[in-house]
Amino acid sequence: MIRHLALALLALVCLSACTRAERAEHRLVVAIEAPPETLDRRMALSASAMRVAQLVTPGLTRIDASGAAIPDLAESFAAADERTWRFRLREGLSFSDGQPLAARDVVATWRSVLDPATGSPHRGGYAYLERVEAEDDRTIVFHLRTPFGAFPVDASLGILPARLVGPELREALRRAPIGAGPYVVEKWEDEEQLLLAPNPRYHAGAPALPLEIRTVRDETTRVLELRKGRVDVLLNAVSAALLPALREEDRLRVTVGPGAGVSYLMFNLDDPLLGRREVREAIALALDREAIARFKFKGAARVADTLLRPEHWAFAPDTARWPHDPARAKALLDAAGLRDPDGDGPGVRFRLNFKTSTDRFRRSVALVMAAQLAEVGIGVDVAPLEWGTFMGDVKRGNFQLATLKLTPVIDPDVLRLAFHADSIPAEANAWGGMNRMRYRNAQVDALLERGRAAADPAARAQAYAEVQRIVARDLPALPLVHEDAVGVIARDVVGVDVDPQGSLFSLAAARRAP
Amino acid sequence: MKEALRKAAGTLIAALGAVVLVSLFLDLVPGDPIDAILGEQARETDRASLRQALHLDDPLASRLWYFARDAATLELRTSVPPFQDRVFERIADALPNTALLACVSLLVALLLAFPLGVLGASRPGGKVDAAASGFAVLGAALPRIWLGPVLILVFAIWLDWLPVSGLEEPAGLVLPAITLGTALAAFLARMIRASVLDAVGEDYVRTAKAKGLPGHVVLLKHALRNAMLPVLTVLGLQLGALLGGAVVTEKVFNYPGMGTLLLQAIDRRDYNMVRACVLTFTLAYVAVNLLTDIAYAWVDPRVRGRK
Repeated sequence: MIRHLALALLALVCLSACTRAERAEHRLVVAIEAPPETLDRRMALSASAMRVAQLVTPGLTRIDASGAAIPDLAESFAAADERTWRFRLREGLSFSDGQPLAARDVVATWRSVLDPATGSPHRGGYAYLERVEAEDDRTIVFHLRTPFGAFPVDASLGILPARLVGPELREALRRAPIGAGPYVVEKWEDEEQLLLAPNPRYHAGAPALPLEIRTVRDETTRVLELRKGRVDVLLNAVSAALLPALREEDRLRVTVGPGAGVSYLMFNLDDPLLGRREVREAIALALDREAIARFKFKGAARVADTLLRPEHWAFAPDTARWPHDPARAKALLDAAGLRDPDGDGPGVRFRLNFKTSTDRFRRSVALVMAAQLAEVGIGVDVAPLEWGTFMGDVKRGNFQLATLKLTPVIDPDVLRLAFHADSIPAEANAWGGMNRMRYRNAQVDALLERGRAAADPAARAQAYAEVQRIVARDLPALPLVHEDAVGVIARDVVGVDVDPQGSLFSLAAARRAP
Repeated sequence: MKEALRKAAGTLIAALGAVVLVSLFLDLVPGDPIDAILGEQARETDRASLRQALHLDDPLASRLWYFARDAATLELRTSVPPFQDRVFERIADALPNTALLACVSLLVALLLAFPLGVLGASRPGGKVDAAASGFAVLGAALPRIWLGPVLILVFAIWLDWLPVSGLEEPAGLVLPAITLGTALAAFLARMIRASVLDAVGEDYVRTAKAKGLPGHVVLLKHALRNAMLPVLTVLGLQLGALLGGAVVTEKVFNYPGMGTLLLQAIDRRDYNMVRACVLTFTLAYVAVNLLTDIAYAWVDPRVRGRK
């Protein structure tokens, strides 16, 4: 019996050796965590769908590493006034099927998103748009109902041929949209594997390598596939804990760059203790975020002073900083009358609950923070909660301390979601806002509204810089670290950049080194 | 005929009960599916319109009715945007893969468990028995989430014999089947050993021995067949469970089966898909139980006679 089993296994092994699909050596294979649900950018909701759709159907703009919108299919864009944006297309654009791409395609795509019959989940988000018009073959004008300075970021919506945007073609567009991007959909039969071929008509030149996008859900398996050489690129798809081991691998290169995700500690300002500024300041001073970045994130993170990363175009460099200073933290608490009953002994000045998700990594970071706070005599009870419960509690203000990660930070208008009084989760906003700290500051609200309305980037940057300065002083939340974007790439692949927002766009520039 | 009707009614009640229960549980799960689907930076209008599209504010009964109506016409679609996938097409893709994995794992388990169990029972307390017991404890103790990656490391990376994950080639079946089969084999081997030992003590075995039959004939022909009944019950239950998708193993091996489908549906808060998966599991379980009943009759003539 055993012999038969051994023989059967041997036979299977031989079979596999013979039938093993020959991997096209020249094809670039990237593994992602979750499959895109659609390649139609108008319908895409998940980050993976949006990233993959961008490769096939780019928009008028795309987002650069500083979080700013830069021209893509557009050659240039400008605001005629706060409610009118004019985009000029590049000359001689064409879709991958050879048809020219003109202003009417852009107009048709945008109108289809606004048309309820299309059923785009993004329709509500563009409610500020009044109408879209083509001025001539290459000029498109967007008329806004309300001023919206971040419109160029929204203008990254993928452009489709006018003749394909009708609701009756949704199914076809979902699986194989036609666009003017670097790639064309070659084959997408099952969720696990998507093949993209270079688009020879791409305005910036066809990519050198065809692309295979594989879905590998398990992190360990992703890394093992990479080790085996069946996957060439992982972008933001491995956790920090694995980085030291991956750096040891000869045939892999670990690239760490600025990332658009920032984790932050929320204070519930409605809490009598945390409502006191000196208590929040003491907590900020007691935390050693440098150590957390180095030891918990294995160096793939940088201490954050504001929610915007230093590379961001609207980052304010001159905000209040909260370096690790336990002595000052203790002095602040003493002065506030919150004395430690037994000095460095086990007694505490007061206890706080600290809610976090059950994610092992996040929980372990919370435990480190609790230990750091214990050093200055603050007792912290870390409560890891299942994600739904955690979010429910945090939204309803049922917490004292809690950590969350905000990602991706693209336009600084996200600060409005975080700090505007209207963004305090409530029935009225469908529990949707992110101001769970319950921070109310009329001056900040006014600045956030100014930043949202202004069309001039310099004016916006000024408003948001002021917001960052006030918020860093008021401390409704303490930014912890900017989490780096991490790429693990086979050594023979060159030209791939790690994008802060997780865009796959740079794959189009990849080549195999000889 | 009456028997068949009763079985059909039972199946229907089980399926209905499972779907109702799962729907109830989905309601009880804390957290807003809108957050999971749209992300926290979504705008209020989108949140509200998705809430409406998903019927989240409708009473449970009417949501169940929508589900039953669409499921009956096989028109049921995923409940997350872009709402386009037909749920049963996805299940029809995944179920055969899971069934294949379940059968091969069961085969692996049987091929391991039978020799170990029978050899162990033939000389209780002997060396083979001790080794079989050791294997049983080990197999039951090793979690699949550990065994899977270790098997990948050894057979796919170091030895480079087999693929790491996926089912693009038949060999992709080997490692997940061994991962699943090992734990099952450990359990079955203990079961078979105990069952055979019980049978060996019976009168008819003594009679067979007294007739002067050689030991292995007594063991294999007389004792083993009678020891099969409890083993069959366990097999049926295990096969039913395996058809429910071995979630952990499928995830580790990126295996395109029901477990992966269910996991992804839960991740996306795709309620229709979750309900449909559970419905499928229930029906599969019932079907396997039916097969077990038939197998009983084949192994044990007494069951055939009974009405």
